[in-house]
Amino acid sequence: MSKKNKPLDFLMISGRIKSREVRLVDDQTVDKLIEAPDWAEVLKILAERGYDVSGLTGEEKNLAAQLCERDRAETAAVAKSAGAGMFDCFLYSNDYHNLKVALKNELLSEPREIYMTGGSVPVEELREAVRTREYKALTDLMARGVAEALETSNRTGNSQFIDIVLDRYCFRDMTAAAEKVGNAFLSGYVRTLIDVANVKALLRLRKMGKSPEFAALVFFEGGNASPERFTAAYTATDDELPNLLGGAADLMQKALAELSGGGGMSGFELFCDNYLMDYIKNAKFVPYGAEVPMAYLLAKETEYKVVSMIIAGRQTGLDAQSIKERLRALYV
Amino acid sequence: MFELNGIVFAMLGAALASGLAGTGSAMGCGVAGEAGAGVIAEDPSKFGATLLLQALPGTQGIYGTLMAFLVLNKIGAISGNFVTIDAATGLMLLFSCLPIAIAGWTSGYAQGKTAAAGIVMVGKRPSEAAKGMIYAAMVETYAVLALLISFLAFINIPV
Repeated sequence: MSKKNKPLDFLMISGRIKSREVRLVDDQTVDKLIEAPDWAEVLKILAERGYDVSGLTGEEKNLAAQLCERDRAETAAVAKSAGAGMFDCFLYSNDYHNLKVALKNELLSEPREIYMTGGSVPVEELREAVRTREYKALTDLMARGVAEALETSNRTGNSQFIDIVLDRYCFRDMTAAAEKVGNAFLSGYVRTLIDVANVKALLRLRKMGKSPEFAALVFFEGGNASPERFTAAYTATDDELPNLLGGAADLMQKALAELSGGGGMSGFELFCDNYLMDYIKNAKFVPYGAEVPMAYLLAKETEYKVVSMIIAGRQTGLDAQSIKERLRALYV
Repeated sequence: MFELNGIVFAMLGAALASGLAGTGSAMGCGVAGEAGAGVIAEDPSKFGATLLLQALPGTQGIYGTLMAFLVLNKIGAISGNFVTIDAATGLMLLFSCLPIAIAGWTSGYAQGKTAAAGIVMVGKRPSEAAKGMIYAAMVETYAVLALLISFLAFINIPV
């Protein structure tokens, strides 16, 4: 994609997406889903929101996965009409997850089939690429990431480096894809995503008592604050920490406040997801442009998480309040 | 030769009024139409409101054509009996066409973008269609003013 896209290039897809946004699950729908008396009502509500519930009774164990998988396929088809390669950036996390699974399975006696669909490379092609060490089906950065992950993991004898190295390459691939598209919203999203990953890593590693040397290997480049800043701030006190992080100071300040608020790590995870959603919500006021389909795709992914949590909560008999506490902020 | 120049200038004015204002309208309607097609792809029941919004940027082309018609009629191009006018008169006719030519071109495109935003809004909030039309109509003001000035400048040019 050599030419930069202009907002007017996205008029039709913006019209389509804005029309579809009225069907996004909102807070009222969440309440209805939680309080619905039976599965038939749950499916009826989801059908009103555009989900394909044909052939489902609500008794299926993988109900959420089936619903979300069907809707994700349709959403991806709509987004694709905006232009080939526009949204590869969002698919890479699934690809890199699959690469991690494929590489780690080589070390396990019983391989785990936890591959995810919805990546830029079909799962079978990706597995074959890793198995044969022929990386033609992968992006250049994926190929380099796999080679480096294997080399580091073999050299250190620590398979944890497969995750660390591939996460780094995943963010590099996302940054490169965002730069190709040339959209400030998308680039800003990727930077925010990397900031969130770095803040999560810093706070988790400190809690686990990991050394600054180890932490330095984990921080990612491409965010609003450099990995060097995170490394330098690693041993700082909580009071000093935000001021040392430049562009990620606000995020760190809020994250520390969240952690000290007593929500624990699950509350912190929720905060991180909501922080990203706050960024995505900036696109609500863009009438047309690449931001519209991008924000819709991200909004849909959050919606799938919320719908899955509600269904899982109902299946396990959780009370309404407990389900609500786990839910992410929605786009609408 | 000198007299002929007057006609050439007048013809150039008519061509600019119709051509530039028409271009603005074509671009504006095109932009709005693309957004409309996206909305209709999801919900065909919104065709009426989106069509009204798409039509708004079309008026600049009409204003430009009207001005061009007046000029062509004045110099006898329509009947085929060209009048003889000097270069100064021809230039006056040319300049009288410029307000609607330029404002029609730019406002048509700008109005198209505003209409497209309104159409996208209709996709999400159909009940707010009238507000989208008002926003787009605000742009129209300047095309109307330009037409008014073009007309006032033209009407008393002695031929």
